[in-house]
Amino acid sequence: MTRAPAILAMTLAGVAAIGLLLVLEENVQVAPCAEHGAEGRLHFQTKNANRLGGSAADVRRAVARAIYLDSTALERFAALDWRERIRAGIEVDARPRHVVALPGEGEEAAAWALPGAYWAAFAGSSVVFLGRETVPDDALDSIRRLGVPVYVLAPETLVSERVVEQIARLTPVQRVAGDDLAEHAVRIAEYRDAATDFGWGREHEDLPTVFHFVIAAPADVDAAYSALPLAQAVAGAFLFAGDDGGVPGPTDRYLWSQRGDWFVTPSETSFRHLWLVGDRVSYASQGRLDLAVEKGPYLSKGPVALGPLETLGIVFLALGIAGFGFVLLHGARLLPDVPPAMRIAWAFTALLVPVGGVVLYLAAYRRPRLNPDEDTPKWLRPPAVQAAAATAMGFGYGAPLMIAIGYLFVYYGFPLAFGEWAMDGAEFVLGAGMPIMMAAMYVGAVLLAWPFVQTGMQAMMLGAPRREVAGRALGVTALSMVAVSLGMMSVGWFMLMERDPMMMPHEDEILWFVSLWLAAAVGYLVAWPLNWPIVRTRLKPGTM
Amino acid sequence: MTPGPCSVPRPVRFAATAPYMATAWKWLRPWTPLVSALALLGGCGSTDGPPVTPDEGGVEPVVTAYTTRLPAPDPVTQAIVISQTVYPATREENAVGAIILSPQNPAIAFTAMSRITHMPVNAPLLYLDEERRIPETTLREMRRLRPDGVVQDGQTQVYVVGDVDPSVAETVRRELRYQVEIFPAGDPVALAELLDRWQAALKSDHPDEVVVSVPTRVGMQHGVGAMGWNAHMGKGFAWVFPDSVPPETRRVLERRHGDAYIYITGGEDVVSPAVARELARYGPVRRIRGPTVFATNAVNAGYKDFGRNWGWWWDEVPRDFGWGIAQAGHNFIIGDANDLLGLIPAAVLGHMGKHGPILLVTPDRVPPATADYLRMVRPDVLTPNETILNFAWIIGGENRVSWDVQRELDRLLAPTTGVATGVVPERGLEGSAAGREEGGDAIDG
Repeated sequence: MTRAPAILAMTLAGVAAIGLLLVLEENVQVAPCAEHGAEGRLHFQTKNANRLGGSAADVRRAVARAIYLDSTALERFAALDWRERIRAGIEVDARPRHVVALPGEGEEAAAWALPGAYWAAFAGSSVVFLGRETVPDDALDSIRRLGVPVYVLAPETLVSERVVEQIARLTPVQRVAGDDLAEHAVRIAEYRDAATDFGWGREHEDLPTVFHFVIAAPADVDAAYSALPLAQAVAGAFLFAGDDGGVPGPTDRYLWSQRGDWFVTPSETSFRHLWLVGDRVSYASQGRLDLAVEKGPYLSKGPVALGPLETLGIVFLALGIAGFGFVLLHGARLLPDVPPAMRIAWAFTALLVPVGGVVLYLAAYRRPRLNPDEDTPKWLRPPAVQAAAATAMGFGYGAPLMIAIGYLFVYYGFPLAFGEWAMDGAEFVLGAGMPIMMAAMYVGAVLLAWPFVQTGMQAMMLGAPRREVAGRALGVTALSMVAVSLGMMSVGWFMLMERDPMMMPHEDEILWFVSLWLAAAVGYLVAWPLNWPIVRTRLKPGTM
Repeated sequence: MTPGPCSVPRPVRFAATAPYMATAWKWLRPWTPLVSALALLGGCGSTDGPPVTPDEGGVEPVVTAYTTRLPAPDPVTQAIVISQTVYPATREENAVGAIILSPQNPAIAFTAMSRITHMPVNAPLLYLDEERRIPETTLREMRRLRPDGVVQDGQTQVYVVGDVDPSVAETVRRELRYQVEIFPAGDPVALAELLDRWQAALKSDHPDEVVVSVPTRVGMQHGVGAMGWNAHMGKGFAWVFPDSVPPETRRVLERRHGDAYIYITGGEDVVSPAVARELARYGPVRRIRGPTVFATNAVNAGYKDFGRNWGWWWDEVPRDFGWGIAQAGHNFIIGDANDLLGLIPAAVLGHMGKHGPILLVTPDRVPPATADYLRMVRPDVLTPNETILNFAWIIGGENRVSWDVQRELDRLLAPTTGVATGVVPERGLEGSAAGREEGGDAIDG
């Protein structure tokens, strides 16, 4: 009696654990272990990312062609110092509302100035270059003459606080900078001050907007300056890739937060378009960035990304797992007289009905015992708690069994049948994958729970041999599973088939588990009142 | 501990949790190597990597600010170029669910794209060669794509459609070890009926919205935009002839039990009024039509039919057909009206990424209907945190869509003033000969 439910329980817990570990593995991996997907490619454009590859000269030619510029003009600019290239690339507004102050001193300054240069080129900002410890005279003159707020787009290592204080004596000044290049570019992409018309202000995806971003590695600074005209042509904000070809953390985080979402159809929402400049950005990075900005449904945000429904679902699952552990440990230490099969049923109930399962478990056992002198303990319970305990007895094995069987179906794929017989009527449903899976979940759960658990429970309850109660146990199991299935199958169908009709979650997505978990919890709630007549007719005990 | 008659379990105090922790650790400790190994395995790999260089024989996409051309010398390569654009295939989530293998028969490919591509299958279409064998380049692309398999269909990875020699499926099984399913109907009308049955089993439902097109060159030119919608949203599809409804299509419509919403692509010159009346026996009929194939597809891009289908207030299922795009902020797939074999696989660009409807041009001009539509949805300039821009994929080389037409389209997609005007002179179509021409259905067929 005790071994069979335990073996079944370990099997079910094993299936769930393997499934959840596979989900974890799928979601934490940064990129595949081996470079893949690039072999045999005829080109390197992807749906959300244009690539302007080759040397800086190649980039200049591609940019010139893309926006109908005379490429010789760009070549002329290429010969200039990077500061002059910025100046030459900006058509300064006649009445600028702000001044962009870029770092102008040191080897690193060219890369640090890039994100600010892209903003200035887009907005027609007046640009000045600052030294580490000094404000050059021409910059000072410009700032004084224009009398508008100044934005220092450089870290303290390149433009000291003393320099900022010097400017502050003339006009309002604000430093916008990050600790490293990638974060610096993201800060500038996110920052906006509407009063002075400064900054891209591209914080997140909520607005129905279309944003372009230009991305290059710091070592490709020449190519990045060659693509500067894109800032104005496509309103492209600049972001950094890594010199090793990878995606730095801040860029990665920022672009995932930029992913657009939709309610009914993906055509309804905004999109993001990336321009990858130079050859350094690896193909794995391009694949990840392309995926990062791929539109997703509002609730789940699509593959890999973490949407609000998944977030709530993970909390739901975590509470369930915690409840499972609590009931197992609590029962083992404090309720050793309760039959192990019953304790396991309660543990699985706590797993699938987070919080509620634990509350009902405590409500069932924090009360006087009915028969202290007998071997099979019983507890004095009000009818509602008796029904809850009777429900847990069937649900605790039936629901995990149904989930495990469902998992095997999605792991190996649904069988389909659509022959001529399915031609005209509603009989096509008999060959459809979901109904087949649901029927298998029910039948499989009944056939496994019956001999492994319910027959022994009935034998113990009635004090009769297993053979004599087998028929009765089958009937009780089938009835019990019908009660659970009413809620579980309805909600499971809704979560898997109707909530997002386009994309049923796969077995390696957390939403698959969340959907079935939630369905099981509702299944318990529906089965609970239905179990009271079963207890009243003494088909199932409510006091064990 | 044995509880007495009125005893209750001891409340668990903070200090009493130590034994629990010890027990939990005892149970968990044997699993720590496995968990650590999984964490390492999962976390391994990075986005670092070598610089990228295209293979020999690669194509050279031509980009402008608002367009990207995907050129190819032939339909086989065109389909591969499109598949490579949509699916980086660096991991499961940006690879395909399955692959459609089709002969170079537009009606067969059109049918397959209409019914197979959309989720949950998630499949691009690749072509067999003219002898209906798998070209080496296609096989290589299939290897690169590493299909994940369709959960709802026994993890099928490749669908072979049409009248194709069984050796094709055998080659795929032998060379790639992919799981293959064959839809062997060589007649597109029968294939549409077969796929309708298969989709019903796959989704446990028949979508009530049914696109109806004619399997002729002109019929498909009128219907290519609606085919793109189906690749995007997975609605029903069936063929009719200009003057008759084939029995297979009747069966498809009968399965909707009077609840079908039927969308005919093309005017009365494409599908006769008598056919439209006959179709009306199965449900309300709408026509998506224009005087030219360009106009029909522009109408399709703006068309929306939305309302109640069935259900009740707590779970009302709407009918929802058509892009309904009448404002800026969208993507388009634009190609030569005569390049059906290039346009059909391009519908997958409307299924993923920026999505968006198919519009038609000729190799040397933007027809007025297409230009007028793009003018209607042309963006204006807003603040940099509210930019709303358009984009388009150009399908085919310059023999299909000339560089001048690509530039013209780029200008039509660009904002009217502001962000781009500093570098892209505002000219619109007023300055072009194409913009003043009327008519425009000057294509063969």
